[in-house]
Amino acid sequence: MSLNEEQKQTMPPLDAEFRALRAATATTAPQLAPGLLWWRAQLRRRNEALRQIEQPLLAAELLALVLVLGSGVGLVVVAARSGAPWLLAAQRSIVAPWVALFQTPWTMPLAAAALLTLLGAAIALLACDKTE
Amino acid sequence: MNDPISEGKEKMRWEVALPQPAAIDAAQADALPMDAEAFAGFYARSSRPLWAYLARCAGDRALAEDLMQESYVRFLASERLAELSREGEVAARRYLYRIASNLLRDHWRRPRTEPLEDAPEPQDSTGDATEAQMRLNAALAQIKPRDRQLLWLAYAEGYSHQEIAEVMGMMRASVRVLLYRARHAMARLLDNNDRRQA
Repeated sequence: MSLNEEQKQTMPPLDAEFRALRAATATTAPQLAPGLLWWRAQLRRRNEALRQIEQPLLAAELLALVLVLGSGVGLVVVAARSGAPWLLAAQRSIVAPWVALFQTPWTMPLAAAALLTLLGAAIALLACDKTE
Repeated sequence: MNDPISEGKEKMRWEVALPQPAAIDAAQADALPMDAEAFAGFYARSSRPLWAYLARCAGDRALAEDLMQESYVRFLASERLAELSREGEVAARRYLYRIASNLLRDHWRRPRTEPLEDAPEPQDSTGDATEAQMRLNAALAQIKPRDRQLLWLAYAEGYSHQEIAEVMGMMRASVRVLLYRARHAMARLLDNNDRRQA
């Protein structure tokens, strides 16, 4: 059944009124500059292209960070196994005071609070970055 | 003292190292399948009917203007533009209406502070709307937004069920049923409004 046949069964034909209303409304259309719309679209495409370029760069930065941290940890482990004197000296001068500090009862809650604050700040920073 | 030759060399080195915005623009312009001139022609042919659709369905002139601008920008920035350019203007126009319909739907889904009934009606600057047009306009303002869209696409634009389904993102069978109900709702409203006036 065609649209017109169905229409006749349910309501009086309004095609002409609809078309007249369409024509009357079309005369009130605002005069936008098509060139401006075209450039806005160009700008949007360019921003999207730049965003797509930046995504792999961020992934590469994260990978580089993981590799650097991994290498550092690996170096320390190798040095510890071979009994390097600089590591023993570092343990005495840097690690030992921290171990002593963490043996006191109030240090752990303070460290946990500091860690939570740091994590909160990192989350807030990431959220701000996303909304920009 | 500045040496223009060494300055020029410095600039060239940086231009090689970093992609300049102008170069990106040029690359994007090459990638766009529709140039500014072709778009101006398409805009001239399609903007008035699209405006009428958005103004009557949104019921708000300022909103319709915003949605129209956004529809064209999304249309031009679309990945499908090359394909649409090959398919022809009818397909491009249908896709434009689809974007506009999605924007309307997104607008209606957003939480609002002002009820739809209180939204301002588009003003007819011509001021010479016939009685039949005013009667139809009053009934259109009272029906559900989706029914308004369906009726406009079917009767003002003359789209088939299949075309309406593509524009509205629905199944063809659903369009048939929903259009049938919209016609009934419209007929009832016209009848009630006529009785009230009589």
